[in-house]
Amino acid sequence: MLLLDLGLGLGAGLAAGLGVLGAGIGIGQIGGNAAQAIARQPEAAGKINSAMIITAAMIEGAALFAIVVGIIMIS
Amino acid sequence: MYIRLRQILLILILINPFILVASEGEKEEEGFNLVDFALHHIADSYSWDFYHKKDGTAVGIKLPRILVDLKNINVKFYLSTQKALENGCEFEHEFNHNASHGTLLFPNTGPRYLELKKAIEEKSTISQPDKIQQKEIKSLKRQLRMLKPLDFSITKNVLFMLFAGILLLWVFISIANKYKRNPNVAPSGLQSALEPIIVFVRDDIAKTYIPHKYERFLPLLLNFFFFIWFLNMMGLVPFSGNVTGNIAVTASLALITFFATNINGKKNYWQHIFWYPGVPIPVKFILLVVEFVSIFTKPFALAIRLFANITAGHLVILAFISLIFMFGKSGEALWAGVGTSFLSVGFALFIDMIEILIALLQAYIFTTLSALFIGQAVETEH
Repeated sequence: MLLLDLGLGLGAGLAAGLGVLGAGIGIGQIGGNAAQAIARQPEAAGKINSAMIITAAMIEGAALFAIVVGIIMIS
Repeated sequence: MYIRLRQILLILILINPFILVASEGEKEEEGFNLVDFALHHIADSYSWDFYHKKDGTAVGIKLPRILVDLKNINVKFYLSTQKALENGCEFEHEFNHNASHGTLLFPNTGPRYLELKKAIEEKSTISQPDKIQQKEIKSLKRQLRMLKPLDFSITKNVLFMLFAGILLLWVFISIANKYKRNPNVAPSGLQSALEPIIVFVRDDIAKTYIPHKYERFLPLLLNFFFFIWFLNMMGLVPFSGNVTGNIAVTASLALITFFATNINGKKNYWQHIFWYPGVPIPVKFILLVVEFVSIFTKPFALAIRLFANITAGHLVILAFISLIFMFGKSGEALWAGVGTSFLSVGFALFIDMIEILIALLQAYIFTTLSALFIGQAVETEH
């Protein structure tokens, strides 16, 4: 029973953690590249910003699936 | 005057986490369980509780229960869960009688109900039921569940949705009347505060993503934006309901996007789903599956995104507040709790500030993605 609890806790932590790790890398890339793009073409900043936010939201959605799975596992 | 207003605001913000502490720290028993505590506070409930007394009774407003029975076509109305129980309703589950969270009530619906109930009780008394008897019990329970009424109760979330609806109507009808009365005058008051946001939704969201006839969808998008924003902000106020952190609410909103997308879908949209133009025929079949699934995953992701963002924010705040009680061991190690409280209140305040940003950002993202999906659907060939 203790082992099962331990496994569930570890699994939930890993599910959320690894899911968020991937999203973190992805959003970091988006942010970095958007900053570069704005530096090259400052007049397109508005368009780049909204594209950046939408793409980041899509990736974040994937990470949140992982978090929800983690929450369901422990509750 | 200006500085004083700002000071009052700052004090209110600083007190905010303390109010949370005061309201939510009361009902600790030995062994503080973070998960139960946090999940209890983000859940919907059948009463609007403000705090719990020392003996565990909740002080708050009891919300009415409305049970609609479609088979016998009758509506039962009770002022509270307690009243419903006194008038012959029973909890659906035998276990956990004290729970008021998410428990469906059974109104005593006539002789058929009693008959089934009695039969189940008789069957359950058998000490070691074999497989056939277990199956019988299961089927009886299923029949009992079929008698279950629809639960139209005014829960805490419904109450706050009604609040938000009334607030939106009041704010926007008053603004609309102002424009009608004197159309060529510079906006003033609330009007000038909200006009830029409305123009932003129109120009940067609707016009950008829905190229043709964006006016048709502008009311829907404005509704999405302000409804979600208001509810997100309401959820940050202590004692209020966590409406957008409820998967049923966000799923309903996403369902509206789903219907708006697919009902308005033009030939071009359906062609891209069922017979993708410009690729070899074997690829068309692969894309058919992918595109067909994406009809459903898009709104699903929309619902999960809003729900999980808001829930995660609330959980983090609650976790920081809970640290006080975990270190203080619910009053045993008082000074450890006091020491921790400085740190965790600071962090909770920090997350609160981020949550204010997220409240706006999530409303923006939900609206933008809805506009994007609708825009893809109504796009004609160029």
